[in-house]
Amino acid sequence: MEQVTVDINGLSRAFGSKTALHDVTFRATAGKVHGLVGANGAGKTTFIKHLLGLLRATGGSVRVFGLDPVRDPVGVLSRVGYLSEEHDLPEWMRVDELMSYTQAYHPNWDAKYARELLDTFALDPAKKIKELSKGMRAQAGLIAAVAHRPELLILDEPSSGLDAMVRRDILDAIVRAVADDGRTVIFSSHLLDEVERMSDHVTLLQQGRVAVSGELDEVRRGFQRSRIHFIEHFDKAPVLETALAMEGGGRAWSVLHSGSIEQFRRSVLARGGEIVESRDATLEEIFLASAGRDRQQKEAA
Amino acid sequence: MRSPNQAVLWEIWRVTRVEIAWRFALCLVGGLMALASFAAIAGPDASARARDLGAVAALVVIVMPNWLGWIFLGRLNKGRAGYPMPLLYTRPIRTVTLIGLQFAYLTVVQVAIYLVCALVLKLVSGYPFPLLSVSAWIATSTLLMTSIYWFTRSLLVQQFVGGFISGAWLLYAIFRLTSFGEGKNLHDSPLLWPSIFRLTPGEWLALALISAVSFGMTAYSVARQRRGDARTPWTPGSGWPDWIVNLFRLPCPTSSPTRAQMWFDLKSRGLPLLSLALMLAVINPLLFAISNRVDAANPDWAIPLGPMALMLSMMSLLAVMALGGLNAFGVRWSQGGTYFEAHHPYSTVRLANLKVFVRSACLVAALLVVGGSMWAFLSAYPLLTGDKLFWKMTGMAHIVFLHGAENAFGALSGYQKISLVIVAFVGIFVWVASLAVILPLWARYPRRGNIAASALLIGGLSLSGLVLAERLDLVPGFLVDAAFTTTRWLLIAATLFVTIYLAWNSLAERLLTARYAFGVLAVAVVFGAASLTVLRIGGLRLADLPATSALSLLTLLVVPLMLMLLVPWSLSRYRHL
Repeated sequence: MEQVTVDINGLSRAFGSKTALHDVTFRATAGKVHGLVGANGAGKTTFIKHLLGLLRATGGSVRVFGLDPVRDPVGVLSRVGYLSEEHDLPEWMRVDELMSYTQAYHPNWDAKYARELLDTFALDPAKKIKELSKGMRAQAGLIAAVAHRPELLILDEPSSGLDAMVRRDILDAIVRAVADDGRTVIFSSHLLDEVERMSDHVTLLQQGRVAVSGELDEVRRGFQRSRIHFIEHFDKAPVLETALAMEGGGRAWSVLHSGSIEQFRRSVLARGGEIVESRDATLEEIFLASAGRDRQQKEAA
Repeated sequence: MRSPNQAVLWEIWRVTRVEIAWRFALCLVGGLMALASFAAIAGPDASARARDLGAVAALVVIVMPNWLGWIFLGRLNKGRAGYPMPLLYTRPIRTVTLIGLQFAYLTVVQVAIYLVCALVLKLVSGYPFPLLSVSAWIATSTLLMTSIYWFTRSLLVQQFVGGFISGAWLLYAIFRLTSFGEGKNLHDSPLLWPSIFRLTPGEWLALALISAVSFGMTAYSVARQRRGDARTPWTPGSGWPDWIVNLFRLPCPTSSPTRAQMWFDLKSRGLPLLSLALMLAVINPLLFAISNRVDAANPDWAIPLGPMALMLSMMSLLAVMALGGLNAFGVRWSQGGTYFEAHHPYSTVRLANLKVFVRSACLVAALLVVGGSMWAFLSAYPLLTGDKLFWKMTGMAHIVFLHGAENAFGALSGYQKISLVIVAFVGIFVWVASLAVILPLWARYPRRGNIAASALLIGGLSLSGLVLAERLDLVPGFLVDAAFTTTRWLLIAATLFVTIYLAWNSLAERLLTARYAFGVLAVAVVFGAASLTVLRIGGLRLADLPATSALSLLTLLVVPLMLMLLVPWSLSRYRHL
């Protein structure tokens, strides 16, 4: 049976009149990488802050290792490694002081691993945090987050604004974390190719709600991109069942659709068209289609 | 916007309009209240002397905001030194024009506020409130003060230069206001204002020169900042300047989270505070010794420097007290802001108490260092040098304060001394804790915070108004007594209710353990016993007091207990928003 690391049920959170998360249900199991995607302001960071106990839920429940992170922050945080989006580290600290300081909180700190990572990243331990570049700060934060071999590694937009080299380091750390038995990684990103490459499980947040959630392959199989040829000429996109987004014009259209291919084929045939080609959609296509539909609904409202 | 110049003016208007409204309201209402209060204090048949003093107070009220400077300047730059509008760096406008427009705007606004208030007060009271000369002075001081904010990116230079100029400004204002000549008094001055505030051509020239230099210096410095030639500014949250932090070499312990956290708080805020205290402990006596020498060499000077140095020393103690007490949790103002330690597996109760305890201990040490150095200096200097002038100036303070305190402390028993030390330390703890809880609570409950602060302000103003009204025989005395009695009972009830609520809520949320609760109670009992001993030293016995006063006093003893509960509760509310 799969070991559940994170169990969230009906989580809601409001800031004044603005609802940031609405009835979010999420489950993370050990040994898997969980990607969290969504547009800016979709609620990814708010979601992650709940895992760390930095925010109290307005409704629903949050359990990490079976514990409530607000009631028992020590029990949860001692088993979690966290890298924040802002890499907000005390600027007056030296890199070696940051390592010693973090080590004090984690009895299972792997000093050898930390040193190895420092060497790999070519970080000078005597340098102050404020003297480091953005990428170097991310690397320092990453070492502090992973060197105690956490059971749950949480990365909030870890690659945001970083160059390809640092991004690769961070992705390597995720791979290594998963390579260790039974560790769980939750990472948020709006770099969809990165999420697609790394994740076993993906959750798409939209306006604080879970729009799509599931195993990556399952999610991708649930959406297809099809090329359609119609006999008739259409100035505007024709209405097709299960279609989420349509591009093109005249007789040739490219459609992103969900549900079964047979149902979609029947709908196309009914409009006098035929499917020329069909394939599983990419995460980016699913994301863009969902975001586009959401925007259309908003505009219509 | 038709031109970049208009855009610049519009932007500075947008960021200053609220402050302008506040300044104007405070000056006008404050000035009118000063006139009314002095008339009220003197009774219905207010004597001319009281009214004259009211006019002096009103003038002080409408001029003083200029001494305080613009609050928006500090806020725009988030406490950093240097030019505060980085957005404008990229705008296609010359630095001289940029600075010129902003300087002109700030000056015109300050002068306009003063002129309108002075004219209204003149109309209401008939006193000859000075217009042109004080306006010129205000314009110059606005340019100078703004220049201090903008010309340097070193916070240390800004603070030192700003402190020096503020001090000089205040002294000059006092000197000018009291230049009423022999045989006259402060209450005579309003009628002499036209002559007191008349500026000589030399003074006009000096004001023009100061304004020109301020402008030139700022334009030059901002141009350098814009080009990136100026040094990087120190940012709050990045710790104190390196050279202060590096005065103490202290490796981070890895053996336990408590030790590591203690190291963090010592290194980030505690030790810099101690270094500052050490510097002041050296500078204060030096300043005093030098000023004393200068006074001895120039006995004819109207304003001796010695007392000013003494005043500065006292102010430095207050500055240490204020700086040392500020934001012990190191939290950010805005809601949703977090802090580095929040991500670490350490209990909120321990974290909160450790932070306040370390800060209190450092503050006690800093106060002892600064106060101790002055104490030692004041005791030893005249004996070593036989300086008669020093004796003359400080004799009174020395005899009354130092000897009195030394003898009084020496006469105490060991138990009484321990009680005094406990009360002093808990007093510092209460100070640090009170300031520490404000930010997290305000960040978590901004609306309730504003309501509470407004209620306190309105309550205070209402009570003051009632007292004034009673003086003018507008309301009967029993009403004022009833208002004060009600307020006292409300405060007692609120203190007790908050304490009980915090204890209940913290235990219910499992924030507090039974062990911690007993610890808090034990500290409160020890503090209560120590406080009663200290009261007895001061000749106050609880049994001799009326029941209401005794209850009020006992409620005051509950305050540390309430804060010991509030400290972890408030941090918990901020840590888990």
